[in-house]
Amino acid sequence: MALNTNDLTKFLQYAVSSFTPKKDTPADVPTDAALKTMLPSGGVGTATPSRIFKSLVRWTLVTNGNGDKNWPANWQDLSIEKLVPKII
Amino acid sequence: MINQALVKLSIVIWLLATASFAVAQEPVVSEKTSKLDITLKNISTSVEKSIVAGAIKLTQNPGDIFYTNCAFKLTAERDCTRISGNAVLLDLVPEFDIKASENGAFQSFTGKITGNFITFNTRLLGSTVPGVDNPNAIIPDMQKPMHVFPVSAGVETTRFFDNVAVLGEVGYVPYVLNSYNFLGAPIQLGINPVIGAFFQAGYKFKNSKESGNSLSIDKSKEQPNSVLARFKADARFEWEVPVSFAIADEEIFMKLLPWATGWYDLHNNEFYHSVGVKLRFNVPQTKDTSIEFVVEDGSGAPNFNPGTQFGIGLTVVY
Repeated sequence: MALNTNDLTKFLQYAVSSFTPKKDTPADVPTDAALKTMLPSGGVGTATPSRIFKSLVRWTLVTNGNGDKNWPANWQDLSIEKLVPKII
Repeated sequence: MINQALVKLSIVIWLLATASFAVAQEPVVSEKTSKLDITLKNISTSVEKSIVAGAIKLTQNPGDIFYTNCAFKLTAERDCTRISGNAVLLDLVPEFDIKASENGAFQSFTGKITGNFITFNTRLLGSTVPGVDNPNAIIPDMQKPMHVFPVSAGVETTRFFDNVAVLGEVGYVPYVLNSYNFLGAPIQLGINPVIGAFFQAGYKFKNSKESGNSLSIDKSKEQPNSVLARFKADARFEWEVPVSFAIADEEIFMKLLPWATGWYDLHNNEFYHSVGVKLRFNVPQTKDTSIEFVVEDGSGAPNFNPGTQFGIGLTVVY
């Protein structure tokens, strides 16, 4: 069964919390803050947190039957609640 | 999708080769007959226009390459969701760059594919976060180690095909987001600190435009017009200094960012290094601007200058 808006929102909160250095719980991650303010910089080469985050979210959508929609070019400027309807 | 990208790249390279051939014939023909000269000029200009137009189209919508373990016919059969515990993905993005002159003809073309191959564990959404509607959805397990293999390969050529550079790199960067250092503090291996190992291969050309800058002098044993093959190891860390001070009532924070990178030149059996540290201060009244003081021993690739350098820089994060 494909993910719905509620499921994808909670998954994105989990994914962001995994990447944040403060060890937030998924519920602590705000859904109205721009992703670029929460995902850390760092990494090396193409192994950056934002690129890996996007890949893992796309994998989740494909695996659960949601398909693979084009992401907006400015997706890091969007909040979770703004990004979800564009990629689900 | 890989096949589609390769086909597109092949078409562009074939068109480039065709144009290069047409242009290369120009001087020879012009010595014999001006009429034919005009004809060939028209042909080459026409071919160039079609190349530039095609390349720009690819740049605007290059499409990317995204494979999961659900790829191919497994997707339809949903077998991928039975692969519980392990998963893989390949995420590559083609990049095409055309440098054009004032009259619209292209001067150089760069085509690259960059991205990551990632292996990771999976788990169920319902056992990860409460209150979901589809608890059996499969998601990546980000609490367990993930293995990231950065990939980059590309070709760069000029209008006349007199220089063709082929460059490639594949590496390994472990990502452990839920780990702890020896003091018990949480750390995120792959983000901070970062360690990685890479294999680089390519071809080095003699640069016809030598620079007078002493820092750009090539000190490596890698000879021009020869094959390059290197192993590279990289380690870097970011440490927030637990001391701050104030200037005009603005609190100033400091960060230390040490790094160490080593290259082993397989072709010449030579080792190069770049080690250094940055001391970064945030700029008052700004959110994303900082000043860095840098001390560095060894310039690193591609010149591998062994000297020590001091520098200061302004960093603005957009």
